[in-house]
Amino acid sequence: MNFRVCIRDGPARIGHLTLDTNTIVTPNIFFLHTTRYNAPAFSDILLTNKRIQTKKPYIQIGESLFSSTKTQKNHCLHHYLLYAKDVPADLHLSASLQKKHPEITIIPAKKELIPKLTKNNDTKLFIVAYATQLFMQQTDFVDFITKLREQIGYQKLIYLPCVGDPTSIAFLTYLGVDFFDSFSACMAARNETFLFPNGLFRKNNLPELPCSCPSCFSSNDATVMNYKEILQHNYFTLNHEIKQVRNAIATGSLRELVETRVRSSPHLASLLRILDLRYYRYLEERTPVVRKQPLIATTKDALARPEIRRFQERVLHRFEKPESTKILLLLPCSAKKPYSFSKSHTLFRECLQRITNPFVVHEVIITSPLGLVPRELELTYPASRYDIAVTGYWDDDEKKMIRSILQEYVQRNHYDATIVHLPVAMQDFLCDWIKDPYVTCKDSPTSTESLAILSKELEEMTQCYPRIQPQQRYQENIKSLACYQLGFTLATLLMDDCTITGKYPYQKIMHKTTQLGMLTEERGFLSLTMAGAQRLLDAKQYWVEIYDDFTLKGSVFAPGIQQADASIRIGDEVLVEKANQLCGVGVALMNGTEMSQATQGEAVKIRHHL
Amino acid sequence: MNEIAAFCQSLKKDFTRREQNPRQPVHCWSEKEGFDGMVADAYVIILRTRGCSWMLSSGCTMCGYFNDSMFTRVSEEDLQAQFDNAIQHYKGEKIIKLFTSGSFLDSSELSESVQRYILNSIPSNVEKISVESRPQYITEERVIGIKETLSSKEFEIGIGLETSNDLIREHAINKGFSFQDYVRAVMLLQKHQIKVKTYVLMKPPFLTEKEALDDCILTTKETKRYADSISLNPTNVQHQTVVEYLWKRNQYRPPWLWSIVEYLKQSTSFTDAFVKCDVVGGGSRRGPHNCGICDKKVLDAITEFSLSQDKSTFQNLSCDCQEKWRDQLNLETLSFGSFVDFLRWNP
Repeated sequence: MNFRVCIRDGPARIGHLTLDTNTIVTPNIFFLHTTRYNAPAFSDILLTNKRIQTKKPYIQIGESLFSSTKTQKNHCLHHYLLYAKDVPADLHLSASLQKKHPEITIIPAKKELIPKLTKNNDTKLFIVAYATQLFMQQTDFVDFITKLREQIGYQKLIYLPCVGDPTSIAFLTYLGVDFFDSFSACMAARNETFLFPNGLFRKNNLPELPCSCPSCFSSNDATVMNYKEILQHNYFTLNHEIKQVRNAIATGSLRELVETRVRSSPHLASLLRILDLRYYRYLEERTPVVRKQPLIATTKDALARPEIRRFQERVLHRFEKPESTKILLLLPCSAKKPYSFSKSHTLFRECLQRITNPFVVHEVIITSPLGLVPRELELTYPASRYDIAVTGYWDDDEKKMIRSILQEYVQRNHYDATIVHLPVAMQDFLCDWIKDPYVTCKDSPTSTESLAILSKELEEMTQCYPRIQPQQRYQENIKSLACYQLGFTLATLLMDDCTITGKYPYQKIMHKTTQLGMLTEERGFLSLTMAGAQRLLDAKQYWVEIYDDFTLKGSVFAPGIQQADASIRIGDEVLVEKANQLCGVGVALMNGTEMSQATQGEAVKIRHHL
Repeated sequence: MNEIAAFCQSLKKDFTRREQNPRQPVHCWSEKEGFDGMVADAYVIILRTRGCSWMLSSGCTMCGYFNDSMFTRVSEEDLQAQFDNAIQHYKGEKIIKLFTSGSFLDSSELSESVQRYILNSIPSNVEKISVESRPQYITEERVIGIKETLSSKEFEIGIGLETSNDLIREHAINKGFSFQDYVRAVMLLQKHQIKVKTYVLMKPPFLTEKEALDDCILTTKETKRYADSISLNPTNVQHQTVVEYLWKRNQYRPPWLWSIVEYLKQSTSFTDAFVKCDVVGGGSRRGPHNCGICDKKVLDAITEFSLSQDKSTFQNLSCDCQEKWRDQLNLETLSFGSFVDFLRWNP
């Protein structure tokens, strides 16, 4: 049994599992194959308790210690002793009579057992026993799966028997589960219930049959379909959904699929909420900092996404406003991203560029669900690519979130005055606590009248300040972004005595004639050159230490990595070091913890090397 | 003490015992029983003693009979009064069953003089006396003593073997004796022409429905040489037991009545012993049950078979829920504890 992770999306991943000579993709479904149930032809992997002849990969479960049947050889598990999950932990641990299997561990769904049963355990597949009972206890369930994943690391597989059905496998995959089975299909069919990704429907509640699977297509009337036909439909739906889930992982849009799927049941919706509220660190570690896909915020749950909370925390705790700015200009967001490329922001920027001292003004965009986006961060994910349902109506959660972030932001970043160029609906919930706000927006922010007031106010308020040179401000802008990306210490090291060249958004950081790094619209992050990376080496952050005998070429693969900074996230710019010497710079494809653990897979895409 | 014994013991720690009258038996009643190829009446007396000695040290995972026990010494006079009170309601039944929720032969429950008093007080028209005992109390000395007291009456001792599988008895039941202990006791009883009734437990905790059914069948085969009769005891959920603890957490389901039917149907083909089954709590959530629609019908057939040994009583028995029972037999092992009850599926 060999397992390799290929694509990651949050805690979910697409991987390749090799059993003997067969390789299958995960997440996947074990289809039951027994004397009463035949796995469908499209199944990739089977779960069986009998001797079978098949070319497909399968796992054959043998007899337990309490079985009277003689165990055949070649069974994957036999003579195992499984106590019910809620017996005392010492009883579970006393089950030493059982034969340990080299590749599979059955772990009763009890959190206290995780440390002992996973320690020094080289098995690849962990089967969660008594999973349905655990699933009903929402907090315990999320707690158990996240703890199990953290303990066993990224290289192992979790199989959650019986729980997954087409409504839940998206969420469960997002939680970190790799394997499901066809129990839900069998149980539902036995109860005359059709499985769909958006819910489970009794056959009498399907006046029309909204499915064209071979089984439904041939009968076209749910009420006359028998057990076998419904079973085939359910198999088809399961298979359909697991493919949807894999597609979502491959395209980096699993979170959006999860938010859609959990709508089908309050239980699933609660589980996602619990995961977001209580396991932020677990999600954040696994969430990339740079992404090509837009973040679609169409549900309340989107407000709790880990990348949004991370963005807000970095804006408040890492970002520093450009030093020479004195006036805060609050602007509304635009549908088109990045904001600068939109019509409305082109108009705002024209007002700004017409005044004599524009660089003393700092533009900050007020938006949901991010809170506030300083202009310098408009190219970074998720600010660069989010899409939210806009109605002009702000609900209390959004108001509260924006107010508290702005409040904390202005405590940390001092301005002499604030210009509020926001629609009236936003003025209503922001102006009351901004000290002496200059409101420049009358009706619409882009109306001729509003823009004229804005221009006039900007001109008057900036006159009293000494003129800020463009080059100084360009340098400060990039430093602000560097603070967000790398933290203040590294930003200071990188930006010392340098100039900025090039036209926004493609800007280069130069020290005399040496390039240190570059900002690109595609990444929204600073990409470093070897010279730039060299400046950061001593700070001991974002480092990946490779083995001395490893020769650096195109990519760094996990086996070559000795250790890596645990704060590295997917998409981060990292310094590759060998014996404390910089030997390359590139982009992380795994987080730092996974780099340290993994024995397979591409870990860093190298941009420059010695 | 091992872990399973400690678990059994821990569940008995903090329960409040009911007020109990030491001069009244737990219960006495009359019932039908197969006897010499006929149906006879049997009078059952359950005496209230200090309690089963094994229970007092840890106890079995499914047994809650200690809920009827006194936990303190019961005087000889009180025990005799219990029997005297019970025998007042005796109405000429051919068989008397004397149970204690423990071992009749255990002198720490019933002293030898009380045992003698009771056996001597059995009405003369009783033809058969039935008691129960763990193997360790079945000694040559005791057996000879009993034979002397009873002269010509048929005497039967029921032994709660539960299963012939030592692993299950030790790790799932915590029974505290081995198959060899049982065999030794039976040999002794056979030598003295005392009848042996073997209790077989259907579905201890931690076994799947299929494992439980297979175990009962194998046990019946393996005790063929030792048992004059077999009483199948399907587990019911008794208070303050490991079984109840698991059942409340949806980690245990009492056996299906279909499993009992399947066992009884098959039993005639591999044993000559009289096989019966008294389904305690049948049809309820705490007892062996099917879907609720067919339970009455199936229970009646089981009772009928237990008297007649005629397996044709099961011939026309069927219900839609059989498919779910068959699923349970077929798939439960692959669910790793998730599906303890294929009847209950609430997504």
